[in-house]
Amino acid sequence: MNVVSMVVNRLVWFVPTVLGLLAVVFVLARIVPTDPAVLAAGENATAEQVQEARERLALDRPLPEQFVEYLRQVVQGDLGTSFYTQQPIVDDLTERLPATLELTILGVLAAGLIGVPLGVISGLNRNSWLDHLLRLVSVLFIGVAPFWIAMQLQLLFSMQLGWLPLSGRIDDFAPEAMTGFLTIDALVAGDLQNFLSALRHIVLPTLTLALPGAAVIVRFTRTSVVEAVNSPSVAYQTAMGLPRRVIVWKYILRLALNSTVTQLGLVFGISLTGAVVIEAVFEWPGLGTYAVRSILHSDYNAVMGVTLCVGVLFALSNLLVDLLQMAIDPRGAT
Amino acid sequence: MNPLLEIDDLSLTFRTEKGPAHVLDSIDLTMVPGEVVGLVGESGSGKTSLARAILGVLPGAQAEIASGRVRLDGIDMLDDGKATRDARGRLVTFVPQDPFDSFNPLFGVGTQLADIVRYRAPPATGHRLARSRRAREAMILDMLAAVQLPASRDLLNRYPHQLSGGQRQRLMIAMALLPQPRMLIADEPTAALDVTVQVQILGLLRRIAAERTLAVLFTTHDLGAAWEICDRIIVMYAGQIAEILPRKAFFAAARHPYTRMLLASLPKPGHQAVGIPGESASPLAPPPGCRFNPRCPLASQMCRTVRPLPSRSEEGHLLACHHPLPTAS
Repeated sequence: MNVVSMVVNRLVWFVPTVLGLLAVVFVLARIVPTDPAVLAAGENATAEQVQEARERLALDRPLPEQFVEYLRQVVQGDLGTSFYTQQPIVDDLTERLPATLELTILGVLAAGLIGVPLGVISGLNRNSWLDHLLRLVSVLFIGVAPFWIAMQLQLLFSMQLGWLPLSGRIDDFAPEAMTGFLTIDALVAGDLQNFLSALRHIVLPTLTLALPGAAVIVRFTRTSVVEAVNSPSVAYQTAMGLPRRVIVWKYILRLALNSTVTQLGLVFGISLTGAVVIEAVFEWPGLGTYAVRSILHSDYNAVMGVTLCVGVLFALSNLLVDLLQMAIDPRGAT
Repeated sequence: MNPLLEIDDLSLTFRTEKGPAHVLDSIDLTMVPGEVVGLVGESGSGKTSLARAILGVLPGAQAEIASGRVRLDGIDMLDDGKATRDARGRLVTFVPQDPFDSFNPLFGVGTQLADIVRYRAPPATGHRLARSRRAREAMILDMLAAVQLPASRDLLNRYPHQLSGGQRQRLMIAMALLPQPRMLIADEPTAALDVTVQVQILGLLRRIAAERTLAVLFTTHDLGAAWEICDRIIVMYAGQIAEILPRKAFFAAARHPYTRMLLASLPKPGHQAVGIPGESASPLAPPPGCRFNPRCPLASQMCRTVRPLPSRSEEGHLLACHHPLPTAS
């Protein structure tokens, strides 16, 4: 299977996946026992006004008809209007998506940078005290709730040591938006102060996202390194006297990365959902806080918009993982 | 000629969960430059362990040298010092049993050959890091021709799974020759190949050994293959040397009952091949005396208590048996 047919195949499957996702969320949003028409009409609305809102939003139609109508809008790039912000949801999402992406991408990178070397060290020194310690710590981080990690980090680094800000994304006004990634925007604008401010703000949420991810990566990298160390090709290279560093950091690492890349993709997906909780703790103005607020206000168009957005991102990250794996492992590509 | 390889009284034990396994028992062996020696025995006879001991790659956590030493051109191969590490992959190289598994599947074969040249090429051909990529490639292409592969970059750009078994094993031989070693250890190099390819690979090994005065230790369970290319054949049973035979006398002069039963088990036209009854001795609890005694029809009380010492019966022929059979002629 070559690259093009793989990508086309994935994109075709993408359609039923998204349809299914939307159907589930649509039904879930409708069985919640709050009446969106009441919310849309406002706090002091009369019965007539509520009825008027119900008709305006087509909430009096049968459910399948509403769903088809919603799909028709989605295809045209219209996700509806938020009851709460009174803005098109597409605008809300584009405003908030960069903040979440900046956080999750950095989180996944950090998870890889922390997890891969530790996993290699753990796997090479199997059953040493270091290996046992790393395994214990990684199980802890996988098991502990992310919001607890977030609060501990806040307690230590913000409240006690005062090294890093407690919450938010930046101290001053954001630099002129180009990518929407504040660190990059500030850097492009040559604004060192804002860059440092943005960087200081993103450290704790990134760590909160990265630590459980790194723990997963450590465990998977360790397993595949152990397998690679015992592989015949490594035995051969050892018998031929190749330097250990070349065998480990070139040959074993590549063998191990094969499964680590898959895990990084999963970590990205978990981070996107984990961002909901973490953004709430750090008051990070991304999709997560938006999702929480939308749910609390029964703003179901917004909830569906967020779901669609996260689903698409997740599918794209899976596609990226497949492409990376084809680059790493030539056997699948022929 | 001065010996290249000297193994004296080598006994090796592996620590296992079921207790110590006595895999090699007082092995003596010398080889001179350019000599091709076949190490023949069933699985578990210790031939692979002996090969690994010469390469100095015994599993450190389990292997215990009970006695003896292995010297290659005067270097102690059981040591873990710099001289030993320099010798491994330079003075002595290795052709593995399975050329497919022995390549890393995720790198092109050219990369893997280039790394051998880069880190294992003889110091005499210039400082190894100073040599250019181009010079490395020229060396590799020359070597491809020497192992009868097309000397093309296209071949080097391929991945292991895109090559045939014969091509992969020729590449393994090329990798073993690139450091210009004086000794080559081939551990069942044809076991994973088709019969027709086996013959070609054996012929290639024989020719290369002669051209380069390269000593080759060749382990196999295939008597026919050993006879095909070896100057001497060592028959091992359960970690002991049973008999050492010169090539020309192999079929005629074999006197050890085990060797004779091995020969009888070869398929021949018009003859029913005869298997060897009983099971191979376990290295966990080897029988005392001659380890072959439980399966030997001639075993006496002496065989069960006293280990027969190897004795030289005639030129190049060594025999470790209390009751040797008369020569077949």
